[in-house]
Amino acid sequence: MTSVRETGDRAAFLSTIRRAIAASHGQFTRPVEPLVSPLPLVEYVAEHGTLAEQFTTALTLLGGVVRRVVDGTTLAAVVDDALGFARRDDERVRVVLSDDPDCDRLRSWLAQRDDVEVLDYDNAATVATADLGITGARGAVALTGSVVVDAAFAGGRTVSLLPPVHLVLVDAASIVAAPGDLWRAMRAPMPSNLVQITGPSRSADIELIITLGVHGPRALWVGLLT
Amino acid sequence: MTTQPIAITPRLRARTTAALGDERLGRALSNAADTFEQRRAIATAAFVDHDQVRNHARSIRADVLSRLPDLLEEFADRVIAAGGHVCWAPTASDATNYVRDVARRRGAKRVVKGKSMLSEEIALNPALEADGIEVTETDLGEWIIQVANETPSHIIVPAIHRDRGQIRDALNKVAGGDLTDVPEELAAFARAQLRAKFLEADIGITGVNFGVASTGSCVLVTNEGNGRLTSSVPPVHIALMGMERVVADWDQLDVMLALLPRSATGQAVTTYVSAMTGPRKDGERDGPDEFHLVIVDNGRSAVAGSEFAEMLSCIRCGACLNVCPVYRQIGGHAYGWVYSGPMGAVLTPLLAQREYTTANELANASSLCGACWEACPVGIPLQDMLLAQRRRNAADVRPTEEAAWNAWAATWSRTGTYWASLRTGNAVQRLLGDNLARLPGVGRWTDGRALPPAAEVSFRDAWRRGDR
Repeated sequence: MTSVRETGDRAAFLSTIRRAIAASHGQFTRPVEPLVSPLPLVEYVAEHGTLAEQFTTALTLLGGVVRRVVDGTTLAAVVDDALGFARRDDERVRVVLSDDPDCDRLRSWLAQRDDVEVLDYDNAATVATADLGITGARGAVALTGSVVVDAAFAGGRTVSLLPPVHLVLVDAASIVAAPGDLWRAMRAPMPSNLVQITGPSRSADIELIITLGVHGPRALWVGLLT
Repeated sequence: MTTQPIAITPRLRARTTAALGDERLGRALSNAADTFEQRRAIATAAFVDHDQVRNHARSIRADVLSRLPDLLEEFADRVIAAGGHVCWAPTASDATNYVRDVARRRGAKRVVKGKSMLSEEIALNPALEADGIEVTETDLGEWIIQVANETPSHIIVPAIHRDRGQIRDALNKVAGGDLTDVPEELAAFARAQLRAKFLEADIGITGVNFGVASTGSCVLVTNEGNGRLTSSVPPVHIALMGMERVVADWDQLDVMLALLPRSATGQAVTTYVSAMTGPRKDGERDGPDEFHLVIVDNGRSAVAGSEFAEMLSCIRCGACLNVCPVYRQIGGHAYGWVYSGPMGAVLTPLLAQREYTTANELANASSLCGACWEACPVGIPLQDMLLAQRRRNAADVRPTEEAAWNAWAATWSRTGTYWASLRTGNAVQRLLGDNLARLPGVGRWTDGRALPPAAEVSFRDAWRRGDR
């Protein structure tokens, strides 16, 4: 298959590899076990508690904040606290929301508040000026304390990335036990971007000392919808 | 700011001597290696059966390499179907020329980069800078060494050889002298500087940890988020992938993702795992308009056809560096090229022989203890390969050298001549000092080695005399 979106000689590139593999018989010098099919899930030592409890424990250990949301009042309380945390000074908190369905009910509520400015989700440059980014999630992983943000639901990539604080709303029913339960469910067509997020942005590049928020958000808040 | 091309001066012996004289470097290396090793042990305890996971990983890599052309074809077709461009690059210059062409067509002036060892391998930065393009590394460690005009000394922690004071001094070149050595402050300065670079960049360039053939997805694992920014904010994203870095599907990826961060930094999972499939789709409000995947051979197919084929299993985790008694003493720069530690000692002569003609001597920078093999998540028998490299290096042995070794073997095979040779050697060394390190005929062997000074009285003589 040739395409206008293809450069270089595919056939020659691949036949070079084919010839090489034939020459070495594709063999490793020490014996290899044949690949098991179907490949079993990676097995992890069992953790205690419900998936929501495991998720909360794992993410909290990595510096994330997890809050249970059971109704409108608890949702308002979580958002209030996240706004307070993200507030830089006495000015209005600049908030940007993704297109996830879970964000819809917050948008009009936030727009009515005097202490909040809701930014249009136009482009990355606008999003970069926000204090707080709010998104939904496609799912979550209990073992690692991860949330998964899908560009197809969010309408893009940067709301969960550029603001210094990220609040993500996660349906507790969408939590799976292990990463494999998430990854192995992937099928084409994939969204243009799917990201598994586990805690705040971190770096250990200076003497292995952990610093948070070097590029991505310095804080990750989760509203766990139950 | 310019980036230095990899400079392979002087020989291995001089580089290791320099590194061994640097006490601060030694402390930093031991600290990093110990920390990662301890964390790796804790992180892998989460597996019910670590060995089984590793066996599966090794089988997966063997499976992938045995049908690499088919998987690459499937992968490329899916990337194109998702709206991406694919470039097949047999050589480093094919890859850099493609990136330069994209930059020229887009009129690009500024490029931001995520950490990519492959981009170092193909010397991408100097190629772009020669075209007048500003290239900014955005991984904190990579940015530090770019500002300091150095090369990475560890494939996971590129600036591990610098302490906070030295990092402050480097970044003060940009800041104009106002920074302290508090890591948080240095990181905050980097965030502000680099955020501006992201927002004005014309092109973002990243590596690829794994390409998933079944869906055409490029998977990238990062902790800082610079990989996400690089691939999400600029209007063009170019992903560079070594041709061996594919997996067949997400089942295989699950195993590899379980092992990679645990082996690299001892994390159960990196902060971000991104799967990128083509450019932004209709209706999305951000993301790149263009996505390019560059699949690079650059000597890998020759490796696939050799006894070193399994080296293509390597997933670049760095575990073998951390456990290597030699790496822990000399650090990454002593290896002279992009890749260091045991994997670097094997890979460098295979990939860089043309530019780095003395790379063969790296096989001597090993104690053959096999700790690398034990640590390797995909079970590459690195010590076998280092031995094979040494065998290969000795293939052109001269008759004088062979005679010298035969004489040595004969002498040391009998007790009397063995002891006599030790006494003679001892006396000669005390007369000649370190010059003995240049034994006639076997210079290739002694070049990479330093003989310990002989004692005044041998242990055996002291024992016999009763000095107990």
